[in-house]
Amino acid sequence: MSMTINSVTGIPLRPRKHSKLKKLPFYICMVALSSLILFPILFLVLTSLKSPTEFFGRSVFSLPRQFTLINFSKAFIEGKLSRYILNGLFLCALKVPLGILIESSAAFSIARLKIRFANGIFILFLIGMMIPMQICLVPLNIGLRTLNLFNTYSGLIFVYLGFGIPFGILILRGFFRTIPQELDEAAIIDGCSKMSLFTKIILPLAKPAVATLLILDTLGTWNEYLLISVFITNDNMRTVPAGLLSFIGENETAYGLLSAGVLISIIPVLIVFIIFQRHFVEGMSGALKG
Amino acid sequence: MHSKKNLSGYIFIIPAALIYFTVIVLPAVYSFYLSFFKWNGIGPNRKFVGLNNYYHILFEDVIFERAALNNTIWILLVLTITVGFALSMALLLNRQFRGRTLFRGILYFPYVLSGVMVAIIWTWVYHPQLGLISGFLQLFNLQEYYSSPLAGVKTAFFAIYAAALWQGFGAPMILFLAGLKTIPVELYEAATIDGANRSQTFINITIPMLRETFVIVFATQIISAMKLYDIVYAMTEGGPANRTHTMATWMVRQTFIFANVGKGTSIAVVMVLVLMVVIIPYVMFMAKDTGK
Amino acid sequence: MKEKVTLLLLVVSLLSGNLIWASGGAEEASDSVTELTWWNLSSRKELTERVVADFNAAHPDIQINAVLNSTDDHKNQLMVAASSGSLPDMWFNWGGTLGSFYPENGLSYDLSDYAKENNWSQKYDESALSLATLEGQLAGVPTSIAMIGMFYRKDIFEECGVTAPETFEEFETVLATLKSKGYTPLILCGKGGWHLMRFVEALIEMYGGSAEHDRLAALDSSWNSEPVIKAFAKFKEYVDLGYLPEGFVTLGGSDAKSLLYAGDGVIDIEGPWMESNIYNDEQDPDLYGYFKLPLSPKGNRMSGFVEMLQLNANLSDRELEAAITFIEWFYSPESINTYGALIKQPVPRKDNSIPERLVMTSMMIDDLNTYGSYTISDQGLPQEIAGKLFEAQDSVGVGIMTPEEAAAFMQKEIEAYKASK
Repeated sequence: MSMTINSVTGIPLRPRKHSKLKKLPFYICMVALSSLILFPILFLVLTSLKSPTEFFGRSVFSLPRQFTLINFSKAFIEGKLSRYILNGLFLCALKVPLGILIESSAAFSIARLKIRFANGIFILFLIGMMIPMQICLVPLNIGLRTLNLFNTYSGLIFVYLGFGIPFGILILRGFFRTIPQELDEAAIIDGCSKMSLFTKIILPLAKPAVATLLILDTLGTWNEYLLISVFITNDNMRTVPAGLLSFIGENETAYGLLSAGVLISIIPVLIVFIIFQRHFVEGMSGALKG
Repeated sequence: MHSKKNLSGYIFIIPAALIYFTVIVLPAVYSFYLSFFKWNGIGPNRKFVGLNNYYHILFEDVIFERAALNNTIWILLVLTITVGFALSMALLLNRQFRGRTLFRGILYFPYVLSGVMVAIIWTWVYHPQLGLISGFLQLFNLQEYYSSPLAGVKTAFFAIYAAALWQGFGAPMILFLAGLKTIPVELYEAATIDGANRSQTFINITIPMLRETFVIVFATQIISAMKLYDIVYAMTEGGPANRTHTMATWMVRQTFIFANVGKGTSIAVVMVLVLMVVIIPYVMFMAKDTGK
Repeated sequence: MKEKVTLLLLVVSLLSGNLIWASGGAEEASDSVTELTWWNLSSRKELTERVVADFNAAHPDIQINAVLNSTDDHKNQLMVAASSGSLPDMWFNWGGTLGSFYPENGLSYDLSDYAKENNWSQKYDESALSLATLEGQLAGVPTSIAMIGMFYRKDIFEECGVTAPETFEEFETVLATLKSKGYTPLILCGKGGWHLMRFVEALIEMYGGSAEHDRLAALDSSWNSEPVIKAFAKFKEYVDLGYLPEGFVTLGGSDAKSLLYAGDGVIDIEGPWMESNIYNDEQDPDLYGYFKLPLSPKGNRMSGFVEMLQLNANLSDRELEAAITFIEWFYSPESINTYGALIKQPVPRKDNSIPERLVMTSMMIDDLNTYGSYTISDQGLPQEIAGKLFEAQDSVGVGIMTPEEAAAFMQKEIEAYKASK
């Protein structure tokens, strides 16, 4: 076979000089797919550059007659997005690492320590994912108020951690299990403690999983809306979704502001994605070969 | 299995267990208890009605039945189309080629938007007059043949799914990508030396080695399909003619708008029970043997 | 070890961060200051923030803290707060069955006595006070009143040679003429149900007459009856004639507006807020006109509803006084002058003056006084039944129910609802 890339597995079979021409259909395919996916985003960009008068004009594809950045400055300043973005970053910076630490230590125990009832414990955690959040609102509201944690980030993060645990454990346990058990046995024979087995061997090997979870969890926290709107009533402590939703009125929607706001608000998470996607791709392959 | 006492292993679980118990288990148990009452959420008039709420939603409530059917349809769509698409995209992106990072970023991009934002964008895409599709057809004077799929009682739910597919395939794709990275290259090299062809390596190596990833993807996708709420609510509010309700949108309506706390919680309980019946055996079966 | 340090650092930063943030928001509780929490809609953010800042500056003894949420979240969160006993001191609410839940369960302050002692009948419009009276209690302070009328494009009317109709027959002629000239005559949108409902309820008023309409709204008369069938049938007729926008069931409130602005649609069914929208969206006000939808002699009222501030039933006398001080200040002629277009007009107070440019709003108030009103259906009907009405409308509109089936469906659902209560 003249293929240099196994197109099913995507793994290069043998380094060989390949002609650019052969790859052309592949690239056309990718570009078409990408434009299809990015097309609706065009709406956001065009709308964000239009004033209300222009937005209510006829054609969708019309370029704004007058480019205006007023929506961006309005969203950023009047919509208080700058504050909301800072709050969101703060919450993510605390919640995500703390969550991953707690989840990975539990997943480590379930997946690798040969404890009794490991599967049962795992299933109990898994059930948590199935419970609709909305149904927990009233009891949690009462609880947080009783503990004086209402309107505090400690309280909110506590709740976030709770709802994040099932998913985190599911992901991490799955990946931990793909790491050969022989490693543990060898480490224990070498006199390694459980703690250092976890921190020195398993966690580093699970880098792709941790990076994946980090991306997903950051996004989840960044976009979370239901819980924060119930448990944080202080506007100065809220995050981006609250700011964006205030552009949607009872009888009308400020599409220009909303689009500008959405575009601004995806920048931070995009950066997180770009940084960490490298890790989850690089992480494992090197580790296993070595 | 292990005669040796291994209590110290549990220490690693304690923080997670404590938080999980307070945040999820306690409120859930309380809600389960409430599902046996007729109650408006306030005040002392809480009447024990046994299984009446369950009887009502399962046998008398047409909208609940539609919602349950919708969730089922959604699960089937997600397991076939979303997962299939995500896996093929992951395989594509797992190749070595120039611009890989860029394409990966683009394909994943919609996932950074929240469900409500996706709903706003896609409502506009489908818009009968001002929308992207109708605007596109207008260029060829074909606009009159377009009718918004969101407006049809039979098509609306599928139209929402298309929007969700656009947004949602990124998450399973990223999981598959991470999973593919865990497959040792040596396995493929050995298989090729043994003369295995592409579909054989795919079936005999890729799929089995992605087993844990499949467990995660299937479980999370089924669960989120069952809890489907925000994109549906923001795109149609359950309409037209209450045809696009899901169990979750109907539960929220019952609990918070109609103040039928008993009915709302019993819908939640049904959701959880159905999920447990589907997910637990699946995960247990897959967890039995790692094949190592 | 490193992990433990990280963990410790995280916990420390969590606590300290929390302190920084929390202390920023929390005010020193002192005995001389009365603190009040006020929940409002986030779409009224600008007004709320300005009002709170100005009021707090002018009243050192009262501290208002505003919490904003989007419309749907506001509804849900009031319910969550009600269930966990943590309602704020004041909250925005609509009248009818949306607002009545709170007096019904003893959660909102019954202002009846207070109003009597302080002569509110001299201060507020009578119609607003009666719309705010729910479950036999004055359940809130009415802050704005709304009535539903028809907003139309004057330029297109002129172009087609029609004028604002004075009878229903004329209205139908106008629709037919507009259609023949290639316009979408009637902008009715189905998403969420309430826009479409405004038209269907007007038809029920027309065919059934006022008295019967009230009985239907109170669920005392059978919906499986001629007026309801006729109303659904007329609506369906318009759908079939192509009077409504393409794909109308999927369109929402802001779509209605853009269709009108774009001149694709000609007549939109809205409340007085539409006039403010026209200004806020930088449209040319001269292009727009208003008329009351003419119905029949036996039923010719307008659909109306009230918005109010409900007060917590547990307010102390001092807090109540503070709340009233705030509301009096908020809706005083001076404040209305200061905040201008931000305040939702008409404010149902006797000392209120509508800003001069809001011509159509003034016309609507006159019509309301002339023709009277009934409570808009999504507030007049129990919420569950309103949901069924929306389903019936959509079903007739897209042709999966005949008008007869829709009327029978409504009655069946109403009976089931009554049996369950």
